Amino acid sequence: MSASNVNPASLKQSQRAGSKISPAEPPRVLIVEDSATQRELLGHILQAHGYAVITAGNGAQAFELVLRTRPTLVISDILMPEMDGYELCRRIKADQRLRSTPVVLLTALSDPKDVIEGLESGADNFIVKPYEEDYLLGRLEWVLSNRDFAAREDEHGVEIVFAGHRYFIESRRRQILDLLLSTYEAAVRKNDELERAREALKLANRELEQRVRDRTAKLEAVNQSLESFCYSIAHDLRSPLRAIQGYTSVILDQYSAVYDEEARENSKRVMAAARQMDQLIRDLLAYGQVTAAELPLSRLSLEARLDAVINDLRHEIRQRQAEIEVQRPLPEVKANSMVLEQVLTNLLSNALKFSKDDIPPKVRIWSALQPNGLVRLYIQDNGIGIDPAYSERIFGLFQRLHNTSKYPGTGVGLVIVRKGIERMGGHAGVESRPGEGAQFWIELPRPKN
Amino acid sequence: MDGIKPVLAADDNPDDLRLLQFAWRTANVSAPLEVVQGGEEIIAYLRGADRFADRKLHPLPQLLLLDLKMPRKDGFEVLQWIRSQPGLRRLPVVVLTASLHKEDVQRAFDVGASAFLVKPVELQQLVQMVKAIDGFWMTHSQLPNLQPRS
Repeated sequence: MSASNVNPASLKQSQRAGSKISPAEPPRVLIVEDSATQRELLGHILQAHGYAVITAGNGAQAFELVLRTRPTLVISDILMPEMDGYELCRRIKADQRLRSTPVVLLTALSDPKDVIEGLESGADNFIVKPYEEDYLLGRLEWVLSNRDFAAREDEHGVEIVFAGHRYFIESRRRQILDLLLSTYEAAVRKNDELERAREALKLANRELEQRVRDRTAKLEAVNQSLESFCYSIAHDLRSPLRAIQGYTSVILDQYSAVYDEEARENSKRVMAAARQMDQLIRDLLAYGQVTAAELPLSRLSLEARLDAVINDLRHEIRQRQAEIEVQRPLPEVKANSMVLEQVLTNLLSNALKFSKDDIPPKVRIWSALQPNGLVRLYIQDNGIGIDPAYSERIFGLFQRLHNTSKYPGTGVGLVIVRKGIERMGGHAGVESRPGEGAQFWIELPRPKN
Repeated sequence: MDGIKPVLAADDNPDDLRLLQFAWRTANVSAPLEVVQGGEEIIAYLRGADRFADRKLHPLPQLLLLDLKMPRKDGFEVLQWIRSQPGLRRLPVVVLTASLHKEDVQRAFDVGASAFLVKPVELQQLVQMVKAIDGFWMTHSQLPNLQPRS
């Protein structure tokens, strides 16, 4: 096992059992660091883990403190004004009274020369910056638990505790040093390789992100042109329909005296078919808008959107003598205003359309906050209702339950409702029984504050 | 034309113009209907240029019915041009379009439309619409004098 494989976490774990930290008298750690922020941070971590902390801003000040307070351990930065970390370490180790005090140097350790200089100054250990808390604490416990052996070093060898085991190493100092340095060099080389690999990975990642961005922009452009293409088609398809419907109507009007019953009926069918096709084109256009790529969401007042839709449908509401009851206030939602209005329009026109003969539509609208945090809006009517067997099927494209002569439609309206709501992060559904009216609901997320 | 100023309709679709003329007759509107095809023609008419030079034959209209989607010069451009002309800027302009784009409504009013109507597919509805235009603009409304400084 090489030194570079030391895992601070496991080290810490195994050392905990035989920890030298006694609760009665916490180890006193002197932190030597010229940056006040770093000093504070380190002090905070150590205090939180039961150490007593003393601090100094440079080597000279620190040496005074070591003499006066005799700390259990010294942690020192290297680059500091007045007296640096190596010099502080050298002075402590040169003093008979102080030399048993372990000194841990904070270093970036980017070069094996740092190790040599550290060893030369007599440092007991290193903590590599930037450090993680676990690693830092593990290192300190390691140093504290090996402190007593340091004194017992003699010409026969070194006693050391590693990963919970006690070792006696008889190698000569030169051997130890060679071994450590070569291991460390290998580690630095390995680290450089890793660093290069990481850079390459970062670069590849950036390229990939750029490619995704390019592709997305292309897709958006394609989608945009597809959208305007659909719109133009819809617009241009509708204009011959106006001609078909219009001229047939003119002929019917001008030749009604000459036409027999069948010719009149056939003309009317031409007009009805043109009307139906016009509605189909409108609905497909609306469906296309709901499934469009860009659907920006914003904070909307559900009440304001609903009122706008009720206003748009005022003519039909009056014509059907319908009664609309809204339980106010309604909350805000996060949605796309165009799609939300389309959805509300479809639900409300359905509620008006699928009414019972001779009973004017009565529509109740209210909201409730769901346990899942979504806002649920109910639209309940007193119409013909829906067999529960079809409560899912009606949300499918071109699905219709009635023939167009009694209830005109294209089978697109509820697809728009479900698709539109789902694209805004919500759900839509219905609860109903035949003959008892339908209760449609939509759920939408609430805006964040 | 006996002093009643005409209503001018501009559209690139001859069928739509023809059906509008039919609806106009059916609705019995007293103001005559003049039709021109496309955005460039309407500007020529309003300027009294080319074949519209004779103001006795082609008097300035009291109301303009304007389609939006026309080749070369669309309705928005025509509207912007009208609103920039001192002798025309008060002319009431009713947009009459097949557009289903809600944004077109905002855009049209932004550049000075006086009203926004969507062409119905059914001729009967078009007749109703023409009657409504006649009632609102030609019967009940006070229409502006187009001359500046008066």
